[in-house]
Amino acid sequence: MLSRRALGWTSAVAMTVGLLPAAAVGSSRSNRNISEARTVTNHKLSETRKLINITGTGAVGLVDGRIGARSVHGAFRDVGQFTNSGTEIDRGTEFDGRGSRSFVQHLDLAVNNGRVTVTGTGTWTGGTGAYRHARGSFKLSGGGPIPGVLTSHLKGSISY
Amino acid sequence: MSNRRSVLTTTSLVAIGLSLLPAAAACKTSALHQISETRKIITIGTQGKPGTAGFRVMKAGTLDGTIGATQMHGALRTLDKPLGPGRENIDGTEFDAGGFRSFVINLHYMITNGRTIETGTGRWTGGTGAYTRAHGTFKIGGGGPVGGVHTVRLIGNLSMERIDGLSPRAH
Repeated sequence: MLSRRALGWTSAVAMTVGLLPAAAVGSSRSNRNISEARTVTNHKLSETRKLINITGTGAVGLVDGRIGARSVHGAFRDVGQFTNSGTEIDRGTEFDGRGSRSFVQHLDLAVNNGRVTVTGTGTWTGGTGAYRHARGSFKLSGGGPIPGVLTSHLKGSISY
Repeated sequence: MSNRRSVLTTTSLVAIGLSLLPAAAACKTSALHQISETRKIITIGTQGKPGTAGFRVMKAGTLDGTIGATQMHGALRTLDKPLGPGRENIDGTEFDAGGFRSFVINLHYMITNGRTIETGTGRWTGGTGAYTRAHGTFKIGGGGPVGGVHTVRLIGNLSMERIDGLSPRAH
């Protein structure tokens, strides 16, 4: 009986120790398996951006809002391309504590009495961290003085 | 009885072994890296009443540079607290693809011919992702037109935990 117990201990220890190197060496493989098995969830997104141009075509700003039930506070940067009078395509990235999410947005701009009014739509095109493989779409509206800080509100969804 | 004890012992050992697995897989190392950045920063707005202790200036900007040999591109936001003529304390956060890192800066500035010239020292105070428990120190220097875009160079070091799959990278 003693020898059987000793055998049981030895087997258990061998099995346990045997697993450790595999876990350490094969951690990247485990991670890949986990990421392949990840579940994608769709979240409502509501944000306020405060932004200002810093170069001829680039803008930076603050991002505050909610993704699902979670508050987000971060920053963003984008680069715009004017397609013709009054329309613009921006490509940029929003950052917060959980990672980054990239977007493309199409804007219609109307200038009146020294103020610009902006409306548009956008899509999420990927990201890093929690927002890896982010997808979804949003609508955007806002405005502000020219030159000056523009405030825009985003509403939409993002899945990651 | 003896069999039951043996089964219990074996089960306990397997449980102990399995409990070690996450620790082995999530092995973290801390390393010191040189950090070099160019920030382009502009004022976005203010908080509180000017002249009171709660008054802050909100700023945002882009950052581009390197951590060690790795390129990094991101954005930042700060809350600047005026301390008196030519002095500010800055609380801020830099974001990039690897996570965020928080910092504080003791800034000195002077205004000449419509331009601000600023110098200061700062330290990292933590973060998330690749920058969890980030610490280290840096120096900054730069300037720009009053009310316009300021270009600031940052040079220093950054100690961060390196976790596989979460590293700063070009984005």
